[in-house]
Amino acid sequence: MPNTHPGMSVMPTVWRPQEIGEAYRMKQSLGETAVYAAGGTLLRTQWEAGTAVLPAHLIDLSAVPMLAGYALEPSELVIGACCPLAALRKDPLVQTAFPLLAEAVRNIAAPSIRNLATLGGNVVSRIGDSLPALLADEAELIWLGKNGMQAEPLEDWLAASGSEQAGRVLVQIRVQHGTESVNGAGTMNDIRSAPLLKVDSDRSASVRIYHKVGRREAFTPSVGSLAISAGMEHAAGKLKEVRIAAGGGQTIPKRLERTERLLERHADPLGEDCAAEVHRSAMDEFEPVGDLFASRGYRKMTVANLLVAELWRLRERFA
Amino acid sequence: MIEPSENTGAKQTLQCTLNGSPVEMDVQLSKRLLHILRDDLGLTGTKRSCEIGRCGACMVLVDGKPVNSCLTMAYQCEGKSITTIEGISGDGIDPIQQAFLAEGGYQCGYCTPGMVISVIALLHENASPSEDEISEALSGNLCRCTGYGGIIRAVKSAIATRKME
Repeated sequence: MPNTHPGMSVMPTVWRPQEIGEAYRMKQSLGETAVYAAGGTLLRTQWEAGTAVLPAHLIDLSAVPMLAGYALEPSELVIGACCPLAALRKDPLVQTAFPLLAEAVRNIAAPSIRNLATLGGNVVSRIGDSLPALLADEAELIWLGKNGMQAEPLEDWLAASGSEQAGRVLVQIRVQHGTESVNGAGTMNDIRSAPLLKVDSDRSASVRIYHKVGRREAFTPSVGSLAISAGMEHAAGKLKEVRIAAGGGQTIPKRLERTERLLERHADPLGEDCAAEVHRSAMDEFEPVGDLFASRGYRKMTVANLLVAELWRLRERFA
Repeated sequence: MIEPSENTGAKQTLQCTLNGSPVEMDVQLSKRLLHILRDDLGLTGTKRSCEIGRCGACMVLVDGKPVNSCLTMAYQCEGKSITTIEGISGDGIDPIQQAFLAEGGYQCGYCTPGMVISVIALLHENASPSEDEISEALSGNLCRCTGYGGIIRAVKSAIATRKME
C-alpha cells in the first residue's frame, strides 16, 4: 500500500480542536505525524493517488470559530481559512465586489466539492485555481505561528516556496477593495462573460478578468489560468495599475510583472503592435510546469494566447 | 485505496440523523461516509465508483447540501442530517425520480441516484434554474450512457411539474 503511513495500517486518529491556539499546540505536539484538515477533499485525492501518505493524525479545523465564514468589511473581504468555496460562489456581494475571486471559485471543481472544499485549502495547496485571482487582487495571508499572528502578502509566501514555518496554520485570507465600492455606481456585466468590466465614468473603467482553460469545459484541472486587474483610461487608451497573474496544473502561480509594466508604459496597450509584444513577453516570463497531460510549452502558449485574447476583447469593447 | 477491513484503530461514537431518524454508531472518525452507508448500514443506493469525488455516483445530502460521500469522513457528519437516495421519497417515488423515468434520464442507472440527489439540492435552492445553472449543478455528476439529453429533459420536466403544483 503506497499511501499508508509507514508501519501503519489504521486510519488516522481525528483530533477536533475548538479554538485556533489549541489546533496549533496539537500540531506542535504531534509534529510530522499530523496534518491539518479543513474540507479534506484535496487530502483524500492525494491519499488515493499515493502522492501523500495517510497520516497517523488528522487535526480537523472545521470547529474553530476564527477560521469559519467570511466578512465583507468596509475596506476588505476577510475570509476564514475554512470558509467553503460554495459560500463565496453564491454571495452576490462577493460576486460584485470581488469578481476575480468569485469567477475563480466558480471554476474550481463542482458544486458538491465546493460545499466541502475551503478557500484556505485551495490556497495552501500552492497550486489552487483561486491563487491567480488572489494574486491579482494582492491578497494577504494571516498565519498563526510561533510568533503569534502574522500577516504575509500571498505573493511573498508563494515566492518563498519550501521555507514554510513548521506547523503554522493559515487563519485568514484578506482582500482589499479596489477603488470601486460594493454599492458604487456603474454597471457590472454578467459574471460569466469575461472580461468583467465596471465602467466608472465616461473616461475610466475597472477591468477584472479571470479565465481558466482546462481539457474540458467544467470540473477540470487547469491547463492555464489567468487573472488580470487593471484600471483603464479609455479616452486616452491607457492602462494603469496592471496586475497579471498566471498559473495552471502543478505550477505555483506568479505575477507577470514585466508584462504588466509593458502594458502600463505602452502608448497603445490595446493595439496590434502591443498584442504581439505582450504575447512575446508572456511567453518569455511565464514558467509553467509541464506534465503528462500538457507540456510546459503548451501551457505557456495557452496563457499567452489567453492574455492577448482578453486584451483583444477589451479593444473591441472600447474601439 | 484504503479498504474498510484495514480499519483496526479505535472507534468513537458518531451521532447524526440519517434519512430523518437519529443514528448513533461506533465508527472510526476518519472512515468514509460512503463505506459507512453501504458496508455498515446496507444503504446501497449510494453508489461506489471513482472514490475521488469526480463522478458523483455517491452523492448524498448533508444538511440539505450535496456532497460526495467518498470524500466525506465520519467526523464531518457529526450532528448533521444526512439524506441518501433511500430517504428522499419515503415509500413512494419522488417527482424528480418520476421525471427521470418519464424522460429517459437514465440507461444503466448507476449514476442516477447521484443525479437525483444533485437535482433535489438544485431545485430546493433555486426553483427556476437556467440552463447554465442546471449544467453547473450537474457538473460533478458523470453519465457515460445518456449523453445528458434525457437528464436535462428530466430536470426541465421536474421544474415544470413543480410549477404546476
